[in-house]
Amino acid sequence: MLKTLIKKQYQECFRSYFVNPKTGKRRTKGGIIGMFVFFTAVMLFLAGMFFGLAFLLGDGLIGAGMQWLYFVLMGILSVLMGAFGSVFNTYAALYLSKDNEMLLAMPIPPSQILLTRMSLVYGMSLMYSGIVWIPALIYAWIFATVSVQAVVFQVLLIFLIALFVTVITCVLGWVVALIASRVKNRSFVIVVISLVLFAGYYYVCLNMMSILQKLLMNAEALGEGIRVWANVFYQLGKAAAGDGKAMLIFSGITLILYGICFFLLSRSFLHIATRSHSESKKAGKLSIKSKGASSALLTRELRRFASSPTYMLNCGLGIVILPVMAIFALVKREVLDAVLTGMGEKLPWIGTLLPMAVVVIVCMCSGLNAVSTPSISLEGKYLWILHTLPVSGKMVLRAKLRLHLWLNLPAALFAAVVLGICLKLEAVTILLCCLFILAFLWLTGAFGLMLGVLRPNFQWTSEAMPIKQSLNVMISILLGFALPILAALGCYWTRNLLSAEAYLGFVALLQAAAALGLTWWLNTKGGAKFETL
Amino acid sequence: MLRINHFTKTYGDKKAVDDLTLHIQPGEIYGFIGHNGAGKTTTLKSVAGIMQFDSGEILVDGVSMKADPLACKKKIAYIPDNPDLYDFMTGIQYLNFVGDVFAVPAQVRSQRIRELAETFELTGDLNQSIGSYSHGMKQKLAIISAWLHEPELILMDEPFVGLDPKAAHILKEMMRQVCSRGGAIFFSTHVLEVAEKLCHKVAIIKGGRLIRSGTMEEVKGDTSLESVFLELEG
Repeated sequence: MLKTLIKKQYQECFRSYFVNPKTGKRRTKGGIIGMFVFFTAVMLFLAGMFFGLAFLLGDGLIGAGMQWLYFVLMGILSVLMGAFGSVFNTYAALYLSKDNEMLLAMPIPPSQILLTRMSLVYGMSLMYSGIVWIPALIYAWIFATVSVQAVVFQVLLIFLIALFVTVITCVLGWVVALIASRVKNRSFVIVVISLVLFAGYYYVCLNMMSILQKLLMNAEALGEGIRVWANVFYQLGKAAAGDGKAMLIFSGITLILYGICFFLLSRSFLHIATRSHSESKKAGKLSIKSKGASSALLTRELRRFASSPTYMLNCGLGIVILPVMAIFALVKREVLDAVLTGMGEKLPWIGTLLPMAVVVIVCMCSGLNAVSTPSISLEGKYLWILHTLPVSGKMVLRAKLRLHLWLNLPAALFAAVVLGICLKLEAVTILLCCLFILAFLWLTGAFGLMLGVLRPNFQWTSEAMPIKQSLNVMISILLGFALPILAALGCYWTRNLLSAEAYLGFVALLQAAAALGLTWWLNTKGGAKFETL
Repeated sequence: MLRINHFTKTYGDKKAVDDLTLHIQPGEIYGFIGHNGAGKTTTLKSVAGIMQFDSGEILVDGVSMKADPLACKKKIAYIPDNPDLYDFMTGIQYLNFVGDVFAVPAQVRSQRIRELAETFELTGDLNQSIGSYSHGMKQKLAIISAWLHEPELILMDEPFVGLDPKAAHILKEMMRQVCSRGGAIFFSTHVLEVAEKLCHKVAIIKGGRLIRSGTMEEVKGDTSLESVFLELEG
C-alpha cells in the first residue's frame, strides 16, 4: 500500500513534466526532453555555484589537512540549503493536500499517508541538499586524496543528509501548523515566520565571504567549537572523511531523529489534516458594501493573494525586499558614497551607469513577484464561477493584471526614488527610472498572464504546484531577470552614443510598446481564450 | 425563456449530447432526468455558458448564448451539483462579490441577503470563511447567491443533494415563487418523486439523446414517472 501511495505522490509531483495539464494528454518526446534539459540546466547552474564555493573552502581547509572540517562546513551548507528549499512547501505538502479526505476515507492508516507525504519532502530535500553536497564531493574527489571507504560513506551521506533535512523541515512544518491553529491571521503569521527565515538566510549569504575568511582564519578553534556544540555535524564531517565510527553515529542520530519526528507528527497528523482551515469570526453585523464589477474582481484577486502564504511568499517576496533594501541604502548612504567615489576614480564612466543600476536592482527584485502568472491556474475548481457570471474574460484578466501592478508598483517606485536620491540622481533621471520600472512591471505582468492563459494547469491538488512547481512561473522569473540584465548590457555598450537618460527613455518606450501589444492580446484573443478554458 | 435547438456536444469521438431540442416557457419548472452520464450536466453547463458546444443554438430570452454570452448570463443563475465556492472568502464576501458583478444595489442586496439567509438559517455563518462550511451550507450559500439578482432563468444541477429536509422544502417553495413571477427553472434530478410533484414539464435523456419530453401528464400518463423512466431506460 505504501508503495502505491508513494508512487501516486511522485506521479502527481512529476505529472506536469510528462502530461500536458490542460489537455490531459501525454507530452511529445521533444517536450519531455526539453523540460528535463531545462531543469537539468538550472540544477547544473546552481551546482556550479556551489562547486565554486567548495573550491574556496577546500583550497584552504583540505590543503591544511582539515578535510573533515571542509565536509562539516559543506554539510552544514547542504542542510541549510535543503531546509531553506523545502521548508516553504512542507506545511502545505504535509497537511494541505486536496486528497486528504479522499485518502482518509480509504482503509489507509493515517501514519502511512503521513509517511508518503514525508517521502515527498525527502525527495525535495534530496534535490536541494544534493545541489550543495554533490559538488562538494566532486571537488574532494578531484583535488584531495580520498579513500574508497570515504567515497562510499560520502555517497551514503547524500541520502542521510536529505533525511536529516527532512526531519528539520517536517518539524518546522509541524510548528507552522501548530501556530496556524492558534492564530487568527494564519496566512500573515506564516509569511512573517518565513520572512524571518529569509532574512537570516540572506544575512548569511551577504556576509558569506567575510564568514568564510573568519572560518578559515580560525579553523582549529571552529573545529573544536563544532565538536563540542554541534557534535552531529562534527560526526558528519568525520564520516565523510572516512571515519567508520562517526558514520555509524551520524547514521544512528539521523535515523533516531527521523523516527522521533515521524512519531511526533503521526500523533497529531489526523487532527491537523482534518481541522477546518478557516479563520473563524464571530457572527456579527453583516458588512454589505456595493462596488462595481471591476473593483469586485480586483478585490477577489487581492483576497486570493492574501489568503495564501505560498502565493504571497513565492510571488510577493520582492514587495518586502524592495522597501527594506531602499531604507538600508538610505541608512548606509555614506558608505555607498565612499564606494562610488572610489569606483569613480578607477572607472570614470561609472556615473553614467548609475540610473541603469537603480532600474536593474529594482526590476530584478520586482521580477521575483510573478503575481499574475499563476493566477489563472489558481482558479482551479472555482473557474465555473467566473464562467457563469456576466463578466468577460477581458475583465477578469484586467483585474489580474491590475493586482500585479498595484502590488508591485508602490514598493518598486518607492525603492527607485529612494535609491535615486541615495545615488544623487537628478529628478528627471529618477522620473525616467520610474517610467522604465512601470513599463517593466506592465510588460512582465502581462507576459506572465499570457503564459497563464496559454498554459493553465487546473489539475493541481496543492496550490504549491501552480505557484512553485510551474514552468510558467519559472519562465516569468527568468524574464524578470533577463530583461534588466540585457538592458544593462545595452546601456554599457551604448554609453558613448546615448546618455543614460535617453537610453532609459528609449528602452522604457520599447517595453511599453511590447506591454501594449501583450495587453491588446489579453484584451482580445487572451480574453476569448480564457472564456473557453 | 430558454430555447435549446439541435444542441450537440462531443468529447473527442463520443457524442455527449446529440441533437437536443427543448423549449422552456416563462413560468415553467422543467425537470431534466436521465441516468448518470446521460448528458444532463453537459447540457446545463452549456446553457450556463461554462461549456462551448459543437452545433445547435441556445437562446435565453431570445438572445444567443454564442453571440452574446454576457447578456444571457445577466438573466441566468447556475447552481452546480458540487458548489465549489471561494474558500478564501467569507459567505458575506462571496455574496457581495456576486452582488457587485450583477450590479445589485446595496439596499436591495442587503434586504435580499437578510431575508434569504434568515430563511436558510445561515445568517450566523455568513461571517465565517466558506472553507469551514459543510456541503449543505455551501449549497445554501450557492442558492442565496443565485437568487440574489432575481434571475429570469435558474439552472440547477441536482439542487437537493446535501440539503436538509427543511432547506429542500424551502427551495421547492422558492422555485414555485420564481415561476409565479414569470421566471423559469430548468433543473436535473435523480429524485423522481420530487420531479413528479414539482415540475410542469419534464425531459428524459438517454445516451445524449432526448427520448421523451412534454408536460408531466403527457410523459407519465396514468403511471408514475419512475415507472416510465425505468421502462424507457430499460
